[in-house]
Order: sequence, then structure tokens, then C-alpha cells
Amino acid sequence: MRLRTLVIAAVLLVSGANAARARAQGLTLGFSADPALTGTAPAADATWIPRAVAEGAGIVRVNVIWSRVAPRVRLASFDPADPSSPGYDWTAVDAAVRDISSRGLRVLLNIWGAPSWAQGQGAPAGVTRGTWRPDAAQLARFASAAAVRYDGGFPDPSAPGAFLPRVRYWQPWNEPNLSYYLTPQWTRTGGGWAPASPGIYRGLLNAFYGAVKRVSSSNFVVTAGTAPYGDPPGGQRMQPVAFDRSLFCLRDDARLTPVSCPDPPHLDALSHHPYGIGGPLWHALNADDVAVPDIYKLAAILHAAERAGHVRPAGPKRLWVTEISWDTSPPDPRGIPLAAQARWLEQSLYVLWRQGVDTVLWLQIVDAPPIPSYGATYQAGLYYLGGAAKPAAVAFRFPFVTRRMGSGRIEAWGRAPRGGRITIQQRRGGRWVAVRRLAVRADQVFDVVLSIRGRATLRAQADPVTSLAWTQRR
Amino acid sequence: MCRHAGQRPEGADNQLSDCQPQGLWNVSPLMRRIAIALVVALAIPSVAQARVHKIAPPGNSGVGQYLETVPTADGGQPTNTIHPGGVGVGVGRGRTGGGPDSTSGGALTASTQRALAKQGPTGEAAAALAAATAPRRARPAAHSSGARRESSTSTSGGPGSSPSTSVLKALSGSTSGGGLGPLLPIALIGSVLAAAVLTLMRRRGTS
Repeated sequence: MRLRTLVIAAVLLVSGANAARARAQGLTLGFSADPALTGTAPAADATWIPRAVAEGAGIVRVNVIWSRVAPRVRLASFDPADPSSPGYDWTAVDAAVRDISSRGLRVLLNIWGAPSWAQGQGAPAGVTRGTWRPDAAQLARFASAAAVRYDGGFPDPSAPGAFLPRVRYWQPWNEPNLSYYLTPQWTRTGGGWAPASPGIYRGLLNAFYGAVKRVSSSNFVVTAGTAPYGDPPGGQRMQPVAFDRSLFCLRDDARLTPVSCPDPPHLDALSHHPYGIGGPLWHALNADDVAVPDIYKLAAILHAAERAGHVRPAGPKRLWVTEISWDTSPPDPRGIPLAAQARWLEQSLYVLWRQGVDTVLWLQIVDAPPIPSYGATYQAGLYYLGGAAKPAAVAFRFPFVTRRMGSGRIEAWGRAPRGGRITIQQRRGGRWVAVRRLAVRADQVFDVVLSIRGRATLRAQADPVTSLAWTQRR
Repeated sequence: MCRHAGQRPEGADNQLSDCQPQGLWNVSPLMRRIAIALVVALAIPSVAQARVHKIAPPGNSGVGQYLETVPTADGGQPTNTIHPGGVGVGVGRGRTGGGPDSTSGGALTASTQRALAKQGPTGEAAAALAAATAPRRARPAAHSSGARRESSTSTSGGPGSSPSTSVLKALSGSTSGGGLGPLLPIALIGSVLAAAVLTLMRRRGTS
């Protein structure tokens, strides 16, 4: 018991430094690159996008694979900075942006995967296509074209007289600490290995940032979410803390001492993908890996960079999580139980929020078709493929978590599914009795301390939505 | 399984009932200490070997890029190789090792696994860590399916190598995977004895 208490206390202690900042923030929820939302199937528009809205999502991340939009071979007339240039095929992106925006959801365009003509020279055999030293200048031209196309004033080619919706949120690349997305991760030095991908990514990020901000200064740039785990130097992956330390030109010491950084990263939010080996309280085993309760490590790097002027423009930056999920069993035999998914979902929102994260995108709203297998596909939906809801749908719609703070105090945290009144209830003698009433705005985070001794089962209610209930032991 | 005992959600037609606290710490302190000592004794030499092994997020157990690298006594593995015997730490299946086909790799006896499982998340985590870092019976095959995700197969013992033989070989350093030779069993026994003595001393001190 003591060990568990210590672990929990450690999580909360290390996140405490960011708590004050987080309290002033809300919590935006969304979904990440789910084909059910971003694809062209009629079901996306008719079923899943409305459900995403009903679940309280505010944003949807859409994959834009650069090499699929851009021509494979550039004709002489091709102008990569012109969204109307012959050779570009924006059909799928237009449809996703149009459908998602039409329901009031914001779109985060995540651009990655270079066409062959925008990669560097000398790619070794076997590297993933589109990953080898992408050309930052070419990425900037593509970003500029995309930003112009979705600035709100670009004619919609499928609807004469109408304009394509405005997209404000942009994310250059994905998981740049993995060779699956960016190579090389390391370069050989005399006696070992030196990080390569952070420098490459910094160039991509800054070129991208400048391009979309030139189109509209109100555009918002989120860094590529880093993957949670890495390998020792020379491997196929870089640990996210090591990646960000290098990205922000900070030394690997306790003080994160700044080193020379001629072109600091430009960004509005730093993102990470804290897929957990265990639940939301499970720390990564390695110091430079980052699971859900370890986001504070990245926050510390970000704050050190802010202090050192190693992030531009000056000022505090936000923390986003653009992917997180756990697959369930059923249907994936290797997934976690439905109940655990529901519990871990809302508890991870709480743990992330405590550490300063203000936007979390769940991957995904509905299970993917198991083709070729459950193991090869994501089964982390809030809904089964057939449309039935999992318990996690409630946890997403109305996250509610309790935590005992002492013998007579229980913290109750949640995110309001709608504006109005929320009632926190305690089960007494088979009945639910109100113990606290709160006036809230829609999507507002509430965090209150209740004076309750002994065992207590609590839930929150915002008619007609009722959260899952939590029981606190003595 | 509840990762955070003492707090459990309810509702959803009792679908969350598996998050009920289950006397998580009701095993005897002696048993608990012995089990933890065993796990630590297994893990420490593995760390010393500075070799890597990978465990994966539950459900995402097939996602190669999200494997967590951990030291193991079994030697380095290719980045995209998955070891089902070690995946699924804390996946909440009421067992260690994650997938339905997985094994604990022979690191812990069934009774020790049960004892650890009764201790809830921490015990399961300890058992999973032992499974993930223990000498392995045989090297599993890695399969790749799909561009983004990689699936894996179950671990099975190699021909002519029983779990106990493999473990003994690994302990004595006679496998290709290395080992600490006679030092490891000495360390194991020493740890167990130290834990037992410590417990007895404390008991006497408090009685």
C-alpha cells in the first residue's frame, strides 16, 4: 500500500509545478486521424462526425500525406507554392476539411511523408519512403500552398461560389523520433552516435512555421507528436526527452543548460504521444522515455527552452497530446478490458491535465475493420465497428475522476459535457445524494475538494449525462 | 485490472466490476518481500548486462514503434522484434505477459506469479518486469503485418530445451544469451535470505 501511495504521490508531486498553469486552462478533446472521420465514406459525414460532436470533441486531426497530394513527377509548370497548380490532388483533404468543418469541429492538418523529389540525396536502401532528410524549403512551399488553400477564401472546386473552410491548426510531420517517419535518427561520429533527427526536424518545423504564419499570423503550429519510447544511440528510434532536449538545444544535465542555438524552434504548442505500456499512472522505465505520467519531463524541457529564449516566438507554449489510446478486448484479444479502457481514458485526461496538457486527441472514435488482423489495426474506439458504444464513450463525453487527498478530503475532477449545473453525487444507502453543485461552462474543467470521510462512491451528473462512478476507499 | 487501486469506477452495467479492489495486499509481508526480492534479483543482473528487450503497450502490442526498450539478460534484439512473452505489462488480463499465447518465460513459478498477482498492480508489474527481463527459453519469431503495425507470434520453447533447463543454462552463463554464471544464483539466494532475515528481525523488533 505504501509503495502504491508513494508512486501516486510522486506522479502528483512532479506534476504539481505545472498544476497552477493547467488550472487556468481548459481541456480540449478531439480525435486523431480516424479514417471514420477523415475518410470519404458516407458514414463519416452521416454518422461518425456527428457522433464526435456529440461526444464533446472540438478538434479532429487529419493526415495530409504530402507525397499523395503532390505530383510524383514535377512538370515544368508545377509551382509547389500554388495550391491550384496542376499536379496537386487535394480532393481527399478538401473533403475531410469540408465535412469536419461543416459540423463545427476544428481541423488540425498533420502534414508528413515527402515526395521522392523532396528528399535528400544518398538515402540508404531500406529507409522508409518519404522520410530521408526531407527538404525544408520544399516543405515550406507545400505548407504555404496548403495554408492558402485553407485560409477561408479559396474557392471550393466542388461547389461553385463557395469557399473551402478555414483551417487554423497545423502540425508538421509525425513522430520525428522514429525512423518510420524521419531518417536518419542518428549519424555516426568518431566514437559513437550523434542525434540527427532533432536538427533535421528543427529545420522542417521552422520552415513550415514561417510558411503558414506568412499566410495568416493567427495560424497555430503544433510540433509533431513524439513517440513515447526510443532506443539506445544508433537505434531506429530516439527517446523523446533526448529528442526534445536536442531540438531545443539544451544540454543533458540537471539544469538543462542551454547551448548554442542559432535557429531556435518556432512553435505554438509542443506535442507528444504518450502511449502507455500500463495505465495512466505507469511511468516509462527509461529516464528519457515519456508515458502518460512523464509528460512533466517534456514540460520541463519546454520551460527551460522558454527561459533560455530557445523557443520562438517568446512566451509560454502549450502542451498537446495528439495521439493516445488503448485497444480493447473485445475485439482485440491483446487489448485491455472495456472497463479498464474507460477508466484509463478519463484518468489519463486528468493526469495529463495536471501536467499542463490542454488538448488531448484520442485515437480513435470507432474500431477499425480488422483487416488484415486485430493486431495490425487499432481497436481503441469509443465505439465498436458495429456502432455500439463502449464504456469509454461515457468517459470521453463526461470525464470524471476522484482521488483521495487525505482521510477527510477527496478531490473530484472532471470536464463538463455542457454548460449549466453539475451535481457531484455520493451513493448513500442505495440512493445518489448531491454533495456539491457547480455552475460550469461547456467543456470547462472543474477541480474541487470534497470533505468526505470513509469509503465513498461518487459520480457527477449534468443532465442528461452521468459520468462513470468512482469509489474511494478509506 | 485497476492500475490505481483504491479508486475504481463503477456503472456501465457492472462492466467495470473487474476494477474492484481484491484484497490486493492481503498476502503475508514475508511472501511479498520474498517475491519482490526475487524480482529485483532477476532484474538487477539484467540491467548490468545493459542489453535490451522490448515491451509494448497493451492492445497496441503489435505496434513496433511503440515498444518500450528495457534491459534484459537475453541480449539485444532487432528494433522491430517483439517478444510476446514480455509484452503487456499491466494489461489487466489477470495474468502477466499480455497476450493469450504468452508465457512468463519461466522467470517465476506459478505460485510466485499468483502471489504477485494478488498484490494488484504493483505485483503484476513486478511479475511482468521479471518476465520481460528474464532469460528466455527461445528466441521468438517476429512477424510483420501491415505497413504501420507489426504483429507477433507466441513464444515457444526451443527443441530439447525445457524451461527449467533454459533458465539454469542462462543462470550459469552457458547460453549464447550470456549470464552471470554462478554469481546470479548466489545473488538470488542471498537476496531471499536477506529479505527473510530482515523480515524476521523486524517482526521480533515489533513484538
